[in-house]
Formats: sequence, structure tokens, C-alpha cells
Amino acid sequence: MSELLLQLRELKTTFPTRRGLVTAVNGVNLTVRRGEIVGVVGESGCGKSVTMMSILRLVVRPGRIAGGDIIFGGRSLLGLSPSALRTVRGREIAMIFQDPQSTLNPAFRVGEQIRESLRLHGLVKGSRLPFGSNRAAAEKQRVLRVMEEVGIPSPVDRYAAYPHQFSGGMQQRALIAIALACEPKLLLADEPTTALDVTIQAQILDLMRRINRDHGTAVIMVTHDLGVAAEFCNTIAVMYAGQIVERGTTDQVIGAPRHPYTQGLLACRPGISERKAIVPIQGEVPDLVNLPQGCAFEPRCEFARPACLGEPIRMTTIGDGHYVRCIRTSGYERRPTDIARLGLNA
Amino acid sequence: MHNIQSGAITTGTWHFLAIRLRVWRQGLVGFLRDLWHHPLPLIAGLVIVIYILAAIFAPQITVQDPGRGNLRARFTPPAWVAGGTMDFPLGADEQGRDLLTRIIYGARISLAVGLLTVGISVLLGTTLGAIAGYFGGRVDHLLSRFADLLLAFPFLIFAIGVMAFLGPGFTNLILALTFKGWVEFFRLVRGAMLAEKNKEYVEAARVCGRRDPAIIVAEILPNVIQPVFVLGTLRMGFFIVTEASLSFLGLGVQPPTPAWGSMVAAGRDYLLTAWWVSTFPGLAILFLVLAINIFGEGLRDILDPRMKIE
Repeated sequence: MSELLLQLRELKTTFPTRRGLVTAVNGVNLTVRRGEIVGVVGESGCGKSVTMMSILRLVVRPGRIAGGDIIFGGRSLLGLSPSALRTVRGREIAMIFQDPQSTLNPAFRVGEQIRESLRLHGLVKGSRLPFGSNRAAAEKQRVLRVMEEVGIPSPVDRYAAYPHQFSGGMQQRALIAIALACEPKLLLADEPTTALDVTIQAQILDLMRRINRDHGTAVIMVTHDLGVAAEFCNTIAVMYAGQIVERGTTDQVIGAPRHPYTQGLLACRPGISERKAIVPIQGEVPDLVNLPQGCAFEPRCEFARPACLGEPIRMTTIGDGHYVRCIRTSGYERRPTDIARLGLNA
Repeated sequence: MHNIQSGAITTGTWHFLAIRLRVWRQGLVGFLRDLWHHPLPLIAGLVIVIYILAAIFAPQITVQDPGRGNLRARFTPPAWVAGGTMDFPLGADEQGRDLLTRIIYGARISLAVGLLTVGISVLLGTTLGAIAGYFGGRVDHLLSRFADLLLAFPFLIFAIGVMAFLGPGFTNLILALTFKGWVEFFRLVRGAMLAEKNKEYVEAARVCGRRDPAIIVAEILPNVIQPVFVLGTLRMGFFIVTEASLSFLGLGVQPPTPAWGSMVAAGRDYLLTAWWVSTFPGLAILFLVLAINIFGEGLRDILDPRMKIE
């Protein structure tokens, strides 16, 4: 097993609202090893993005990290000073976003924006004066290399282009170039392919996989697309209402899902090869202000029973790093119908 | 978001200025090309340039002293009217001073007031608006309520009040005008800031480890500054008129310094016998402010990408 890079321990992020305290991230445990690709999957509003922003300590006020710890490279990010944090941001942990169009600053040339992160972290040595140093030229060379690597054709010309002159796929490549310019150890990708069409999506995923392989950059891939996660990730964590409800290798989570929510997510994916019926998950995402005691998925779960409520449900292992937050995995008596539905051997 | 961090003027700012200078140079060439296709603003711009040149080179292009009168030449009519001479092309005033000379010198006051007032207002309004809009909270609340308070006064009455309190004079005139003049820019920039600060590129800058001051100056301001230029131009005309009004009321620049407003006021008593004493300074105000306003409107059209015809 390779070295630990990032560890979230019982991370809890809350937002005070007029209606009460919203617990957007509710005790998340997540481990990322060096060079690993971890998928975080879930519906909109389940706390995926807030988890990512919590890692960078950039939760928008009045939200705050209310508990737990974030260990990155052996030290706690929660204890760092603002200036130490800024050297982590961009330099060691970079992030790419869902909508590349609005993430690039429309007022600046793309090349300059990529160069900006190099400059900001002082990665290329030389005089800090704006004129009369070859530092700018050295930075530009490096930017051109990165642009080449992320597959922006004729980087010399594109260096001087403005973001609006780029297509969506090119914009996302430029963003990845910004993220990669400093060779971070960890890349947070917040739905990086959602705004792109499928062919571009495949190219971007391919690019990210190549970067992961060549540079050993670990990736946390936030997505609501189980297909993307299944194809791209080594391990997958499924989030629901601020909690991870199932966690394991991709084969375990996609191949043998054990939490009813994961099963529901898989069942409501449209298939292409077989014309199977789409089975939607009934009901709605629970109100984060008034979470039910016990299992948050209970109101929508077809296996729900009285025992689901009352006590908070703990993550339990069902072997070999596969964790599930469901009482059915911790030895309650299964009904024959459950067994039939799930195709489980009781 | 964090508290305001120190070190706003860092290499980030220098770097930003270096890039900006290059962009501005390219932008200026493009702007002049655009201007060529808008004849009306182009003419207005030329008129403004003529006014500015006249103000700068007033001693070189006039032969007479704007302050010294010649009572024998009192109320000499303009050259083309019976009794006029080419010594006084636009006639002479009640002290026998050459009107054209005084109008040319008067441009100095009007333009200086316009440029200084707009300059200080833009600086103050943009800075405070950016801070209020970006950080929000109590600072924003205080500044916004203060701005609302100032907006509740009619401009001229407010300026008259301030001038009456401070006493007349050039510096006090600038103070009186900027005291309320920054509010417009404050509101413009604050509103734009509110809209921009939640955009993803700001978040991306934060993710990259940028400081708040650098984000404001180098990321957001370049995206909100164009309307400030347009508003600045349009407000300049307004400030010039207000200065003229104050001078007309005797609260502006004091005689014998020639200011158009006080020249109009001086000729008011002789309107029936010597109409030119009031009329020509009035026309000088009219043409300058008209040119500035047309230029400002043109600037808005040119800078607004939606109005661009390719």
C-alpha cells in the first residue's frame, strides 16, 4: 500500500441559516493515497463540493468547519496559518471546476493566467521585478510546455488568446494546465466533465488519467455520474446527505453495491446496450436542517424498518475495505423479499 | 474569505501593472480604430482636445492679459458687430478685458475642476466600492448608508452648503464637489463587485492561493472598470456645470481669476445692452459639456461589446 496523502477524519462542516444549522458535511472519513484516484459520488446538494472546499479551508462564510480533522502530508490543515494555507492552495492541492467558461478570468489572456499560478508560488527563480529579468521568459517556457502537455494545440498562438476564444474543452484543458503548472500532489476535480459533451468528456478523463500516471498526482473526482466514476476511479465513496454511505474499491461499489442508495443510483442510470427500465429513487433529498435520527436515507428506502431510526447508523465493514452505512449489513434478519431483490446469498 | 491581509502592493500588483500597460497600449490602438467609425464622438473628442490645448497653451495663444482691464474699451462689441474691433474678437467685458482671452483662461479652471473632481471621485469611489462590495458586512453597511445619506441631498444645494461652510476657493471647490461626487462611483463599483465576487474565477483565484487584495485589484477590477470610465466621462460634464453654477453664485473660484460661471454672472446685469459678456462664456460651457457628454455616450457604445458592429 502506498503512502497516505490526505485523510479526512470525521470532518464536519456546518452552515448557520435562518431555519437552523445545516450540516452539509457530517462526519466524513476519507483516505487518499499517493497517486490514487478517488471518486466521490452523490446527488446535488449531498455535500460533495463542500467537502472539497473544506479540504482547502475555503468554505464560504458563514459556513465553517465544525469538527474533525484534515491531515495532508502528515500535518493538519486545520492548524495552518493563512499564509501557510496559501502555499498549500494551488501549490500542493489544486482544483478544477465544473464550468471552465466562468472559472477563467475573462479579462486576461489564457497563457498569463496559467503563468499566474507559477508566479504566485515563486516556482521559477529569478528577479521579482517585472522588467529586465529573464524570469518571465522562463515562466513562459514552462507554461508553453504545460499547455502542450494538456493537449492545447499550437500553444504559442493560444498563449495570447482570451478565454472566450477557446471552446469548452479547450477551456477545461487550460484550467487543468493552471492546476498542473505547479505540479500539485493532489488534484480536486469538482465535476470537471459535467459541462462538456461526451467526446470531450472522454478526452478530458483520458488526459487526467495520463497526468495521474505520469506525475503521480492523486485525484479526488467529484461527480454525480456513476459511469464516469466507474471508468476513472480506483476507489469510490458514495455520499448522501453529508455522510459517506458506502465506500470501497470501484469493483466493490459498482460491482456489488450494498447500500440501498448506491443500488438506487445504479438502477436509475439509463443503459445504452440493454433497454432496461430506469428505476428512479422515490422521494427527495432530506432537509439538512432536520435530519432524521438514524439513517438519513430511511424515508426513501424500500428496505426501511423501525430499527433504521433512533440510533445513528455506523459504518461497518463487510470485508476488505468495503464499508457500508446500513443496518442490514450489521446482522439484522433479512426478509426473503430482500434476499430475492438483491440476489444475495443469505 | 479571510480578513484583509497586509501587503496589498506586492509583486502581484507590479506584475498586474506590467501586463495592464501592455494591454492598455493594444487597447488604445483598438479604441482609436473604433472611434474612427463613430464620427460624432470623434468630433466631440477633437473639440475636447482643442479645449485642453487652449487651456494648456493659454499664455502662448493670447496676446492680452486676462486680468487687466482697459476702461476705455468697456463693452466693446464683438468684431463683426458695428463698433467692434479685431483687438477684441468676441468683445470686451464691463472692465474692458478681452472676452476671448478670459474664456481661454477660463477653460483652465473648468477642465482642472472637471479632471480633478472626477479623478478623486473615481479613486475614492472605486476603492471604497470595491472594499464594500467584496468584503460586505459592517463596512459595507456603514458606507452604503452614508452613501444613501449623501444621495438624499440635491447636488447643487449640497455643494452650496459645503462652499458656504468652507468658504470659496479652488481647493474648497474640489472638496465640495468630491464630497458627494464619489458616491456614484461607489455604488457602481460596489454593485459590480457584488455580481463578480461570486463568480467562479474568483473562487479559482482563491483556490490558487491568492490574497484578497490581489483578487480585488488584479482579478475583479479589470472586469468592472470599463463602466467606471464611461460614468467618469459623463460625470465630468456635470461637475463642470456645477462648478460654473457655484462660480455664478459667487461661491466658486474668486475674481479676478477668470471662470466661466462668474463671467456669465458678471454680464448678467448688462444682458440687454452688452449681450456678449454673458453669452460667450455660456457658449463655452455649452460646447465643452456637450462635447464631453457626446464623447461619454460614444465611449459607452464603443466599450459595450453588444453594440459592436463587426
